[in-house]
Amino acid sequence: MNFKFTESQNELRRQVREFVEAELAAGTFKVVSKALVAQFSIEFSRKMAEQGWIGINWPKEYGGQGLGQVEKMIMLEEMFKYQAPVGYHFMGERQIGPALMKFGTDWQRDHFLPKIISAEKGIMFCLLFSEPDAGSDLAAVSTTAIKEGDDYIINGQKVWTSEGHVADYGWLLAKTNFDESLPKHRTCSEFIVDMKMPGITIRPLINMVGEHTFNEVFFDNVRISKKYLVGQEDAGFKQIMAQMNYERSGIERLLQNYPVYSELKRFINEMDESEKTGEYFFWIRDKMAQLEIEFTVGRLLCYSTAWSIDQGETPTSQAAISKAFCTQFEQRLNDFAMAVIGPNSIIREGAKWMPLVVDVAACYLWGVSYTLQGGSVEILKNIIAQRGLGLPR
Amino acid sequence: MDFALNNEQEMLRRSFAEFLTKECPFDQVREIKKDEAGYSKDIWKKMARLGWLGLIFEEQYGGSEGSFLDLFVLFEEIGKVLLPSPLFTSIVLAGLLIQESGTDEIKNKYLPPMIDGKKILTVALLNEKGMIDGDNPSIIAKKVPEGDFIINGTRLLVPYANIADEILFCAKIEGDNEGGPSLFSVNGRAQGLDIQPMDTITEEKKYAVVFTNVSVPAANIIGKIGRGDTHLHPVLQKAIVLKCGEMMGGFRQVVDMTVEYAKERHQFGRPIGSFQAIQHYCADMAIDLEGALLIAYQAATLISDGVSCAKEVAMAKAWCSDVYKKATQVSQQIHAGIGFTEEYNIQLFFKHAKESELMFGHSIFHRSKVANEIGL
Repeated sequence: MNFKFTESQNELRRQVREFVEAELAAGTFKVVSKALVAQFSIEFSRKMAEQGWIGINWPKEYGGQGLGQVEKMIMLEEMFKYQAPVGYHFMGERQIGPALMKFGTDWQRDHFLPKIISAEKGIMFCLLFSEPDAGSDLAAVSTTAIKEGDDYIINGQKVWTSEGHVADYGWLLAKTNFDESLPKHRTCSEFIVDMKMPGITIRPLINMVGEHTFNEVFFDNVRISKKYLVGQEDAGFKQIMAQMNYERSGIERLLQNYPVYSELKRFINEMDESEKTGEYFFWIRDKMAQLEIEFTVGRLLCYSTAWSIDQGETPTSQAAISKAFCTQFEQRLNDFAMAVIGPNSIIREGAKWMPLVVDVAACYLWGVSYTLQGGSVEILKNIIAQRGLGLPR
Repeated sequence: MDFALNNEQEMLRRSFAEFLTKECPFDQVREIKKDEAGYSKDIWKKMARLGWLGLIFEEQYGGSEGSFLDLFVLFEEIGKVLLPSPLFTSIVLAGLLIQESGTDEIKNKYLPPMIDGKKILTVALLNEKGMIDGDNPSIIAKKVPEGDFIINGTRLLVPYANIADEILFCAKIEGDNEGGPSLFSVNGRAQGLDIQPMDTITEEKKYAVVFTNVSVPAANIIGKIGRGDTHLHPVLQKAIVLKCGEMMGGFRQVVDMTVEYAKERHQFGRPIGSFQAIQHYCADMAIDLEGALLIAYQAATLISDGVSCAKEVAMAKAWCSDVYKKATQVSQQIHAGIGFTEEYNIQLFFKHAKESELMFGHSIFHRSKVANEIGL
């Protein structure tokens, strides 16, 4: 047992940090407080691709470096510390690439994987999973894909589609089997959909932060070729679940608000000496130490889950534990940061007198979504209890 | 990175577990508590024969020079069964103090019989207020012309003082205002020592030890005069991490027992473990356990590697204390009435978690250390 990174892992971390700091200094991006993957820049993704950092954990036969989840996490940790704009390739690299390697056809692999890994133009993905009546109960999707010759005809509605308005492709879960005797998780299939197909309408959903990342996506007789079906027909739900560990073990769940964390430490350190006495400051010390501990625990959970994946395990419960813990940590962080800063913390970005470099008020509002996306905390706890601890359904 | 124990350590864990589950079922824990000595001589002898009392001691004194991590794993397994024994106070506290600070003569005198299980040592750490006052002890040692010291003062909650052959303690030397406290050892049956049992909520025997003009020869000073606090500090760091190991064993057991109970107990025609309220309680425990194991093992591996880790140790004790206690509280809620009875075993862990939280500093104390370490 050892908790140390290897020499080459430390070297990777150093390289990524230098790269990100240089890009930040050059003004390629600035540290803002948006949902992480909502920040994207094709130019930035291209530069990452040149370094071989997109697909760092993909097998070499698909153009990757063949490194592990741990290396990918090291790379992303350094990116997220500065909120680097990795959104352009993020979903394609994390979700679509590995799914195609596992379930895709030769044509799909040849067509999409090289584009994703080199951050080509026109290869940004969004996820078309949730529907108005299928959220936590994802297998209950009612968007239909009905086979007609060599095509499928798609009808229905998706919701909470992050970056749907800018993505080039969507990763769609739709119902393909209408035999009512089948359990519903054996009735859906996965497809890749070109978001510019005729019949697709995208409507913005402005979130409570005041920002546009979510969309509603409507399908009205959208015709796609069967070559865009991924994996087996009717096995879509199972395929998605097999990929969930990658999403849930991600260190982005811990670091969406890292600038708040580092800025808060700076803010406390720069308080007047006269403020650093008395019971109020003892409270701040105690709470900040608690957050430091929780951050450490969260980081260990992320890395140990990544390590388990690298050992060939399928750490479903462990990944759920990691995500449940980390997202709740981030909510506590933002809440505490605002308490320390006081009334000024509600001042939004762009307004004069904003107390931190980052918009902590926006982070606090964004925090509401952290424990909902990618499996709500409650769904995650069900998984931990039933699959991890073996409690009965 | 490697988050798993190696094969040897896993084998060691299995042998610890097999022995302890066989030798120390919960009925035995209760028997031991009723026993005057407060430990099982039979188990103690067997543990000595297995070499467990010498795990981290030098070979020349009869030890096996294993790693600190091996000992951590042993304490995890002990925490699962809550074996009451002088292992912690004798081997960890006293043994390490002697190994790390004693002269060859002292080590030769104390370590081999301790490792053999023939002599039991203890350390009297807590003053009348229940504080570890190693930096400024309330025990006073007065030097007399013959060169010996006369000791006066009180220590509370001293584990196994009744059976200890030697009791170690820090004392301030009267009239010496510059030197720090010194570390002494006194024969457990020395004249002037009053040792009275204290009734507490846990299974381990604890005593009040009152020193009234106890004479201790100068040769009984361990380490350097005036440096008792610096001798004590690194040993306390290790003790804290091993206490975390013991707590993690208890925590694992609490989760296992609670999940088992939730599967078996039926209400409304279903196992209560099928109810989401119960499932989420259990999931919260599992989340906390996973994190606590990682942060405790992190500290243990750093100590094992000889890396300085004040922050990691403080983080581990703060976190483990809080989440283990929380789990025992939730576990009582899930077990409901039966868990509140004396005969049911889960309550043993409820008490163990509370005591462990308070020993060697609770979470508020250790968070204050963490705050220092991050520059606040």
